[in-house]
Amino acid sequence: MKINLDVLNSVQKNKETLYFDFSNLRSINSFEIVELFLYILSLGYVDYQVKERGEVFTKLKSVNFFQELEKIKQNKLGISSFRQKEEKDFCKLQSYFYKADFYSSCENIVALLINLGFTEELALLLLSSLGELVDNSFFHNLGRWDTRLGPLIIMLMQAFPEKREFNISVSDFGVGFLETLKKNYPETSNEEEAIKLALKENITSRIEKRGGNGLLFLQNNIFNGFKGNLLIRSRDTLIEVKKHEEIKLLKNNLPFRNSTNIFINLKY
Amino acid sequence: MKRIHLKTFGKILMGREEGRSSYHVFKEKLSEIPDGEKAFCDFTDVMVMAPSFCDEVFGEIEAESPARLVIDQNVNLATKKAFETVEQARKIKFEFGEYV
Repeated sequence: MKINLDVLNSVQKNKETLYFDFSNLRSINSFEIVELFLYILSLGYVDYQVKERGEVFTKLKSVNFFQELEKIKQNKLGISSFRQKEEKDFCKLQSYFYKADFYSSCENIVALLINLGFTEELALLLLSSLGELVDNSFFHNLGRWDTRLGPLIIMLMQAFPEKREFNISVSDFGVGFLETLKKNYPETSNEEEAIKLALKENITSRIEKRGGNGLLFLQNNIFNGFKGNLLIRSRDTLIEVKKHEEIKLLKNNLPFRNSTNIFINLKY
Repeated sequence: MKRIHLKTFGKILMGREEGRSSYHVFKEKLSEIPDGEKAFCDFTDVMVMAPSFCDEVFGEIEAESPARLVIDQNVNLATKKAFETVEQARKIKFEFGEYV
């Protein structure tokens, strides 16, 4: 997957209105969809106008992009079901305001994965990994969420059943890896170091230093149960994990303040 | 051997805070089983258990009262992986077996 994030340049802000101009873009991949979504929210989304539409606009519309933006703007909770007879490629965004929202959608997520051709065992393994990410996100950001948006997790799923490829992204507007870990690991000085640290065993921000294996569990499952890779962005820094210990810094100057995005790319 | 049904804690066992609350209830159930007798942890109808929940309940109990629990050997792969993650992190070993 080629990551350039040029799509972020298609958004301009004027007072409380955002203007989208997608005319220079030919396509958008699932990682960029989530990043664009987070970027729009980070700009203080109130209203938007689309200056130029094109293929990217059509794609965004098809994944409920604007519908989910509206839902967040109105802070409405609607657990739109993932359970659909999807036979073709699809992509969906979903927002969670409470941890319980995620729990409520777990059975639908498993049903959807099985529908796509996952074995039940792999579907549950992936669900369990997602559960750890969501749990961590709500725990580490307690009392520290973005003051405007409050607790909010965005999940995006994109499937290509014919290629047996599946992407899933769990992102939030929390404080990021460095802020979370620096209390227990004061020698950590930047987001890249903090992400690399978080991928190791028993790394936690909890006072009692218990736990801290959520990302390790995810890695073990991805690199043992599936073929795939991980993209992890914390604030302005994006890294790629291809397999255990093979970590590459992709960017460290992205226009994000508080937010993280863990993007899982699976071949099953 | 006495049986503790994990489905009484939920179908989806996830979350460290949820695990911490469950730990206290689980411990109460365990206290009703005479010392020296093992507790069989029955996962029938549990869809999945994640590592953080597992750590808070089973990691804690195993650390406090080693060899008190026998874990249902028929747990699914995801739940088995959660136990393995806790074993690795805490350097402990769970006993898996059947209800006898």
